[in-house]
Amino acid sequence: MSVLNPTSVNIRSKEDLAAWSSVIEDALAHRKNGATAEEAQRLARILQRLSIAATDAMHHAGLEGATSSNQDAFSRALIALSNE
Amino acid sequence: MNDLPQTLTGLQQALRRRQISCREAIAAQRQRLSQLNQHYHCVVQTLSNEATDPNSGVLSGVGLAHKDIFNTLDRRPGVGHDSGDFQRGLIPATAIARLQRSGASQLAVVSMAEYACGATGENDRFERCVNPLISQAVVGGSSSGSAVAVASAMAYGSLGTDTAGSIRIPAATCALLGLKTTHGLISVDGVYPLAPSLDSVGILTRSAADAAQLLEVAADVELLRPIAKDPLRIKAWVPDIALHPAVAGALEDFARECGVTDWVRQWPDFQVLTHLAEIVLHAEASSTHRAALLEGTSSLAVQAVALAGLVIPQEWHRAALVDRVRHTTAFVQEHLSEHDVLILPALPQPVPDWSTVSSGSPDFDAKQLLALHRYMGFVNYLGCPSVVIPIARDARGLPISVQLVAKPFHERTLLSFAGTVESRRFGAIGFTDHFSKG
Repeated sequence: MSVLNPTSVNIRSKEDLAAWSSVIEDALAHRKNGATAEEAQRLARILQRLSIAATDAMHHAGLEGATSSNQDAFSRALIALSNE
Repeated sequence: MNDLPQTLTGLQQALRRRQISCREAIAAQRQRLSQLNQHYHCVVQTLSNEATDPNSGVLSGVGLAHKDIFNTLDRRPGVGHDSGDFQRGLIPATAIARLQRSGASQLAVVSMAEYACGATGENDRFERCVNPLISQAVVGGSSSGSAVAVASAMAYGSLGTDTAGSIRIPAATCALLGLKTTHGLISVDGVYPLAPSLDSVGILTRSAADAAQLLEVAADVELLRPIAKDPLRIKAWVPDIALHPAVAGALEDFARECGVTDWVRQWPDFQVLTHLAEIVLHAEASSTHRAALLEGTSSLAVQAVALAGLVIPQEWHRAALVDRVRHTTAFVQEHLSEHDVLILPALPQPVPDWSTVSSGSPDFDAKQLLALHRYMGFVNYLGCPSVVIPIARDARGLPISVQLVAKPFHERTLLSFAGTVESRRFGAIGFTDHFSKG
């Protein structure tokens, strides 16, 4: 996985996010170490994409988590209400 | 036997009397389906999936045609997006398998709105299906092919799915019984999802007795509650705004005929529940179709339902689900603790024409399209069962339908009541034949 040549930004889990975090750290270090203006611009765009993808991934994971974790409680409530 | 009976129960009588054999019945139904589809255009693909043993089981000899959203043997469903394809080893959805083990044969898979996103059957990827009652009248969605197949007598029943009215709206446009089951009563294993918290598998038939038979096979029957004792205690809500006078009049007449004395006058929670249903629908549909939405490859139909979900705050969705138990409990306690059935509108207006609710039409009226599911989505949020049945005719002879809601897992009471209405209003041959044909 290279920040300068990413083929895709695909974050589906916390593990993916952790992996990309280390790449972001590398990228920041690279920028500190005197990247050219073009490289810095490219890094900025990639970091922006990563940020959007990470936000979206967390949003998606949260939605799926809330959906499944509330299913059981709702099913139990429906059964209880059927006997009222 | 030249003419097949119009209802599933009628066919079973003929089979018992040995007027026709199971094999002859299935062959005749296949022929009828093929002929009628030339007029009504609802078949995506005919299937040769015979029952495990077509001569034994309560549904032996019965031909069904289901929405193309269920896995079938070796076939991935097209879900209104494509025509499906062969997939070796794919096993049928649980509900389909149960029906087949009881002797039913699946004759075909039928069309639907793309990915179940749509209150009508509009879908540019397939030929438009035709309403058997009046050809210019809309066929509601998203289980549009199911409604056409059953109303035209191409099949004795159809399984569909209902996330925000997708069984009840097509039933109301085609003079059918449409049953949205309690959330979780019929397994969604092998069913393509839209919004999992709201999705329910349900049934479209021409009569209440037919629906009851399919329900007892497809559902987890240990969850079903017994039929409530007579006389049923019935309550009604006829909203005083945004209801067409013909619909309001039919509902009030029907409620009085049913002996309703308890009327819901004001119900402010309805708007709240509708809003919560929309949050859950949009959020979960966006999750289901996330990849296509982000890639920009989703259709306009999917975008209309799912795009808003990408920007709905996660906390709104979570809160809507957390509050769901409280809202359902409050609804049951307020409306169904002392009553068995709540009567309310199905469609707030007479059945519209395709021209007024098709997005590309010069006569398109967005309000009429949105009105189709005004009284639907909140029932999915509450998780309760609901039946739509026709009760009267409008000025064109098209059905005016009513919606009946009961406590969770009280489908037997709903269908028993629907059966009483059917025989009282229409005789014993089902709902559908009493409406316009043209």
